[in-house]
Order: sequence, then structure tokens, then C-alpha cells
Amino acid sequence: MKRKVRSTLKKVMAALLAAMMLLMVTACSDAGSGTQTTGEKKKIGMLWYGNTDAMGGTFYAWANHAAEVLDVELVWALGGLDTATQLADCENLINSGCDGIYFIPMDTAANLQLGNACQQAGVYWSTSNRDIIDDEVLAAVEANPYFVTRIYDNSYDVCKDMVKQLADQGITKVCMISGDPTDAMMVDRNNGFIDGCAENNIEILGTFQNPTSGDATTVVDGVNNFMTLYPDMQAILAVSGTNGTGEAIMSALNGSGKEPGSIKVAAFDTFDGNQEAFDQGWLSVSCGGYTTECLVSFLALVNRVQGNVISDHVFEMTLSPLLITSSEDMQIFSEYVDNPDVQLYSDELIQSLVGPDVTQEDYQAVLDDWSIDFVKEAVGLT
Amino acid sequence: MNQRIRKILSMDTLRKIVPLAGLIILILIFSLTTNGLFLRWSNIQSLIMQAAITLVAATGTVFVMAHNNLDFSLGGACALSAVLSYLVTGGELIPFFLMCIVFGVMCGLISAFIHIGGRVPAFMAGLCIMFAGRGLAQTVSASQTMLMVDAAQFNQLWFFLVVVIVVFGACFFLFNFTKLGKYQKLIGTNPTATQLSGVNVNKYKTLAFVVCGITLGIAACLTIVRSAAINGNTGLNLETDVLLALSLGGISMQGGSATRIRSAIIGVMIYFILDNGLLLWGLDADYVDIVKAIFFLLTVTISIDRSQYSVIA
Amino acid sequence: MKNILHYIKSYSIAVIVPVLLILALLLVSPETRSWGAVASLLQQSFAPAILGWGVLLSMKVGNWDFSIGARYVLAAILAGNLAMQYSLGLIGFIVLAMVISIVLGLIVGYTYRLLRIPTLIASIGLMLIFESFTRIIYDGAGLHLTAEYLLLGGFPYNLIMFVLCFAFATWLYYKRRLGYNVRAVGSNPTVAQTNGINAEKTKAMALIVSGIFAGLYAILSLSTSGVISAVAGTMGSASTVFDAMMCVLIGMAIAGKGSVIFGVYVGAIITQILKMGMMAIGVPTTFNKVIIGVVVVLFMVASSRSDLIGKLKAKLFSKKATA
Repeated sequence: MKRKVRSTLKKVMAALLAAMMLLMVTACSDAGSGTQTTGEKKKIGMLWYGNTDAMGGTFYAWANHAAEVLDVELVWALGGLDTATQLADCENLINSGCDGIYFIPMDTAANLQLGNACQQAGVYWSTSNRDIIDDEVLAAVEANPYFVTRIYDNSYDVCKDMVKQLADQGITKVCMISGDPTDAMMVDRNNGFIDGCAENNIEILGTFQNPTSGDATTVVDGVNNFMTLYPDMQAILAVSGTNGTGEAIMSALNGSGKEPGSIKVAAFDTFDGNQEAFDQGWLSVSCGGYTTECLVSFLALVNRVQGNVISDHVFEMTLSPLLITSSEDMQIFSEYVDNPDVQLYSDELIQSLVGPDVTQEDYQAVLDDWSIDFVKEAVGLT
Repeated sequence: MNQRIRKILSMDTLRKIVPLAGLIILILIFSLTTNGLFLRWSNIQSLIMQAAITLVAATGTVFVMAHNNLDFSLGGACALSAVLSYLVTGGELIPFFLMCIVFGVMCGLISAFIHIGGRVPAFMAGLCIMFAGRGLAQTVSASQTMLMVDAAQFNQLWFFLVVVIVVFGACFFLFNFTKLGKYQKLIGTNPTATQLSGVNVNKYKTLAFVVCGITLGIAACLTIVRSAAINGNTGLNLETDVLLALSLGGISMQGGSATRIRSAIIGVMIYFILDNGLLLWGLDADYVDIVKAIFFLLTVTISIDRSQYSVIA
Repeated sequence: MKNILHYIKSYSIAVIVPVLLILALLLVSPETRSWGAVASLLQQSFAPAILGWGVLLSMKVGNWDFSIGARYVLAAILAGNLAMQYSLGLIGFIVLAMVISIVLGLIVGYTYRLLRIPTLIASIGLMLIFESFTRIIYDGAGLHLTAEYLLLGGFPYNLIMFVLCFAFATWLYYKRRLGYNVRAVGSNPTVAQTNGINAEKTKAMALIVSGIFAGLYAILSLSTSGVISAVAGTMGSASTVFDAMMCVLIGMAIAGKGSVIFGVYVGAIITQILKMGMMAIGVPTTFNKVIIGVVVVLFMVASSRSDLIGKLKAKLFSKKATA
């Protein structure tokens, strides 16, 4: 009797499964089952690492808004951190009918692999936030006619500047929270800090790696270990403050009972409470604001997809992130930069960057304009 | 006549066909709802190339699962094999591929040694190797970039198809027609009885790990062909992907005589078709994982053979 | 007298090993020669040990529970944000965190029991769902607690909390029926079942009760750091689970005949000593994983091949005798 009931149950469940699938179909089928090609609305595939941290969430908001303004459709594939996953996402996006692919190449080889896939499919692509350091890869992608633009920043130099700021305050012994060495951008920042210290005769007493999993307790333990092992440490360098790292550093320092400001912190990115930390004297130097790179690269891609040719081969541009050293700047930085609720680029500006008359200089001008003053103007403070 | 119909509709048959049926239903649904995008040749091509790595690794893992062990070291061992082969061969393509397989086998042998000689449960041994392998790969990749641009030229359908057909064909033959495969199922069902009948259980368990190691090495080669570089993230999540795929394919967690190597191919295809299809649908990226997870839970609920377990694992 | 000796003997290895390691650390790095360093180590191990006890329960009974990492993150984010939104204070936060983790545990336990699927699938499936929720709720912003919620992170409150949790875990594992059943089912489910223990019910209970430890871990770790972010990437919380499993493996290997609850705490201490030691020597953080992996294997082999070690000892001692 029980067996009969079970087997009926199985058949019912099988029917339910099929019904569920059909329901999902009706619920989701207008969410972009993709009319191929000739539709007037162009489709851009966005490979993005995630929308939960400051920069991730901000670009997610900016790109979606820009897409509305420019009347293009976006398809997002979130979470790809290694080349194989990015390649799979890229292939799936191309197959779903995308006319352009935007991504951050987490590994240099991603440029090669995704670039080839795009070229084979006749789809345009652009990147941001990473330079290409390998000559072989560079040569290969420069020959790729579908590569629109690549924008990168001078994180390395900025890191050295940050260290110089600390050196000017007389600091000679620091500890470092380093970045994931498999990420090219973090390698730049790591090297920037290390070389900056070498040039300014600052000793790096100890290092631990910022956990990629966002485990704040590891950061707190690490900072506590710094203070235990190296009581003469004068400052902490942190390649990243996002994902809870900045807050965790402050928790550890505040909980240590030390005098605020007795240990300085030089950290990237905005985080909750960075204004307070600056005013109390803990946070001495901050840096960040890369989302503009992503937006400009995206706009250049949309421009090309809509048929406006600026160059017949890839053009490269650079951005200088913001370096924050004063309380006033810190206030603007913490409130308006990398905040998903704040659109720093107006609809008019966005529309003016897509069209037949747009040139590379126009884009570079936007990148060069990136500063605290620009932010103040954008939010109406001047 | 009645009996025939009853037999066809019996639980046994239903259970056997549900994973396959699930696969067919999925294919039908995605074909119908994506305006034919799913069935385009370029999409099928991508699907095969994306699934190949997990399929190859899963095929070897079936041997280990058949004798009631779980190899949890796959991801870390993949990274470890790739890194060590790069260091040894300096990035030269064909020697690299060969050494990947060699190091894959060595990882398998280490797992077998710790499990059999050290009498440590294979899952724990695998976990530690995964930890150590991942850490070593990350440490080495921090000090040097390991680009393998030459490998990218093999990122073509024919290469992946050939590898998959050869590996799956060989494993199918080994698993179903040789002592190597048959004894795995025997050991999984009852190791004591097997030992008492004169079969060298330790030897065959080790051989299963060796086969798993070979397929792991091949999977590492395929990963490098796709990624064109080796870094700390190589082979990330491979072990969980393989386990999930095999469960979707209807394999028993406790091994034994009901283990079928076709679970590997059915499960892997379901896994990757779901991935592919959900992206083609344009489902909001935040909800993709939820839909996938619900689907996993439902499929396994229907297809699992509960009679094999005295207590469900 | 004999009882006391026996007691001391069963705990000897679990105490000697960390002490030896701490001494090694003090030798290697002169900066750590202070009670402050030792105190810091012991305190850093509180939270990982608590999570370890939850994982221990699952591992002992033969469950695969990958969802515990995602559960603690989701419970923490929900509880913290709700507590701050409605100004519920620290007590409110604690109550919410415990209630939400237990509910999440119930979801996992009932999924296992009702659907009758292997715990591996149930826990991975639910882990994916919970992780997605951490990214959806509050727009994926995670949680940042204000200062008044961080009371338990400081000494002596964290010690009090730890001792209470230790007592609870010991009572649960050794004095309650559940603990007994867990150990019975873990060693041989079929035999346990034949002897009248409902193995599936025990496994489901283990999943639910591990939620209590996940909640306690969320409370203690948040009290220290004040912040938690949404899980990034698919299966991003699995690394938390693996780290906890490492502590548990060391704990099970080292506990011998003593309390495995204490063993897991020792396992957590050993992991923290290794991390601090690696930092002091200057070894890159990525190498920590390799060291921990190797150390755990050595501990496990030593513990399961204690027969070989016994033979070796006998050989050495008999040689001495004949000589």
C-alpha cells in the first residue's frame, strides 16, 4: 500500500516538475528570450564580478540607468572571477544574441580567450580596470578588429603616492594588508605599496592577505596579530577597504584601547564610517573611485555597437583615481563616491557620449575630469 | 498485458528514466522558449566545450564513488597538477599536457595512500589535499604569471569532442567490462565479502584513485586550454560541481552495484544546460542560483533510488 | 587517585600539543613573548571553536552540511539589520540571531526529512538559495553594526559567552540523548537503526541543532568585527565551512579519550597559532592553507594509526630493556 502511494507520489512530483518549468517559462519568457540581430534595440552582455560591494553596486546602477537613457538592453552575468567561467558566460551571452560584450579581464588571458570568442562571433567588446602586461597577449588583442577600447588606471603610482603621504608624516614602520595575488589589479597595488615603502625607507614588518571571502573576523584577527607581534608598528596599508575590510580594521583598532591616531591607516575604497575614522585621526589617506572607467568603456562599446566608428583598432585610455587627504575631500568621497544611489553622470552627458560625432578625446576628457571638484559639481555643491 | 504496463510504470523503471527524462524535458523546454536560440549550432558547441571539463572529471570520479568513497580533492589537485607541470616543463605545450596527467595520477596515489595506509576517510584526505593544493597554487601564482597562450589554439570543438569521446569511451569500457570497474561495484556493495572472496580490495581501490587521477589530469589540461593561464583560481569549485552533477545524474552516494557511468554524462549535461538555458532566458542574475538550486532539489527528490540506502546519507 | 590520573592522561595530548606549538611560536618570534599574545590567541579561537562544534555535530553523525556558512551569514544580516531598524538593542539582536538560525536549520532539516534526499544535495541546494538571499535582502549591502551592539566582543564578555557555549556543547554532546544518538549513528547507522535509534530523525536534528551554533558564531564574530557582507560568488561561503572542518578534523584526531568539544577548541587554537606563526616568520598567507592541510593530515594519520605508533614505542622500549 505504502509503495503504491510512493510511486503515485513520484508521478505527481514528476508532473509538478514539468508544470513548474512551464510556469517559470510563462513568468520569465518575456524577460528577454532574445530576438536575434535585426531588432532595433541593441543588446549588450555585461560580465560583472558582483553587485554587492561599493564599486560593484555603483556600476550596476550606473550601467542600468545609462542603458535606459540610451535605449539598449543589458544582460548581466554576475560572479565570474576566473577565465574559464568568464569565457563560459561570454559564450552564453553571445549565443543569447548580444551585440557587444563588456567585462573586466580578471586574468590577462581573459583578454585573449574572450576576445577570440567575440571575434569569431563578430561581436564587439571592451574592457576596463586592467592593463595588459604580457606582450604576446597584447599583440594578439591589438590585432582583433572587434576590440573597441581598453581603459586602465595608474593604481601603482597612486599607491606610491599614498605611501609618500605616510612617509611625510614621519612613519617608518608599517604592516600591510595585501591583495589576492591572482588578481592583476591587486598585484599592481601590492607592488605599489612595496616599492613605495622601499623608496621611502619604510620597513614592512608583517603582511597578511585580505580574504577574498569577505570574512571580516579574519581581518580583525589579522590586525590584532599585527598589534601583538609588532608593537612598534606605526601604520597599516590596506589594498582594499571594501567588503567589510575597512570596517573590520576600524573595529580592531577601536577595540584595542589604543589612542585614536596612534596608528595611521592608508586604505583604498569607501567604507562605512570612513569619515569618522578620518576625523578621529585613524584614517590618514584614502583612495578610490574607479567606476568612471567602467562607465566610459561601456559607453564607448555602446557607441560602436550602434555603428559609430571612432577607430579601426582598439584605443586605450587611462584614469587617475582620487587621492583623499583632507577632511573636506573625505566627506565628499564617503557620501557621494561609489554610492549606488548617486548618479554622478547626467543623462545629457551620457547621451552626448554616444553618437556619430564622438571622438576618443571626448572620452578621455571625461576620464581626465574625474576629481573631487567634479563630484561636488555633479551633486550640486558648488 | 496488464503486467507489462505495470512493469513499465513501476518505480524501478521510473527511477531509472527520470534523470534522462529530466534532461529531455529541459532540452524541450529551453528549445521551445528561447525562439530556437538554444538549439543553434553555436550554442550547442559552447555547451559541449563548457561541460567537457566537468564531464571528464566526473567520469573518473564514478570509479571512486562506486567503491563508496568521495574524492574531494579534485579542485585543489587540478590546480596543483597544473602548477607543478608548468614549473617542471616551463610551459611547453605537449610536455605540459603529459605532466598534467602524471601529476594528476600522483595526486590520486597520494589520496589513496593517505586513505588506505593512513586509514583516514577518503573524504577527509581529499579535503586536506584540496586545501594544500589550492594554497600551493595560490602561493606559486603570486610569484610568477603562468600564461599558456599556446594552449588557446586548442580551444576548438573538435579537440574537446575527441577528448570527451575517448575518455568517456575508455571509462565506459573499463567500468562495465573489466575487472577494474566491476570490482569497484563489488567493493562498494560489501567490502568484507569482497576481501574474503580473494579480491585485493586495497589494490583495486588504489586503481580507482589512479583512474580518477588520470581523468583529473586531463580535466586540468582542458581547463588550461579554456583559461590559457594558470592561477590560484584554476579548477575552483570543481569537486562540488562534479558531486552535484553526479547526483543529478542519479548516482548513489554509497556506491555499489547500482552505480552507472551514464550518470556522469546525464548529470553534467543537466547541470550545464540549466546554466546555459537560464542565461539565454535572461533571468535576473540575482535569481539564477535560486532557480538552479530548486531544480537540483526537485530532480534529485524524484530520481533518487532510496532502496539502496538503509539510512539516507 | 586512579580516576584523576586517567582523566589527566586522556587530556594530555590535547593540552600538550598546543602548549608545545605556543612554545615553538615564542621561540621563533621574540615579539610574541608576552601573556598578551597568548591571551589574544586563546580569544581569537573562541568563535571558530563555536562554529566547529556545529560542524562537529554534522560530521559525527555523517551529514554533509555545506549550508552552515551561508546560514550564519543570512541570520547575521537579517538579525542585525532588523535589530537596528527597530532599535531592539543587543538582547534583541541576540534573540533574533538565534531564532533566525534555528529557523534556517529547521528548513535544512525538514528539506532532508521531507524530500528524503542525501544531506549533500539538500545542503548544497539550500546553501545556494541562502547565499542568493544574502545578496537580495537589503540590496546586498550586508550589515554594519553600530558600536552599542559590540559589547560581547570585549574581554571578559567574550570569555563568559565562550564558557557558556562550551558548557552547552558539552552538555548536549555528552549528557543528552541527541549527543548519544549522534555518536551511535555516526559509527554505524544500520546498527544504530536496528537498535531503535531513528537515524534519519537524528540526522535531521543534527542539522537543526547546528543552527544554534551557527547563530552563536554569528553573534560572537559580529561582536568582534561589527560587519558582515553578503556572500560573493557562487558557493562563496564554502570556504568558511572548510576552515571549520579543518579545526574539527584536528580536534577529532587530538581528542583521544578526552572531550572532543575541548579537542575542537584546541584545533581552533592550533589553526590560529599556525596563522600567527606564519605571519611572524613572514610566510605568505596563501601558504597557510598548505601548512594547515599537511598538519591536519599528519594529525589524522597519527590518530588513526596509533597502533603503529604503539608498536614503534614497544619496539623502542623493548630494545632499551634488552640493552
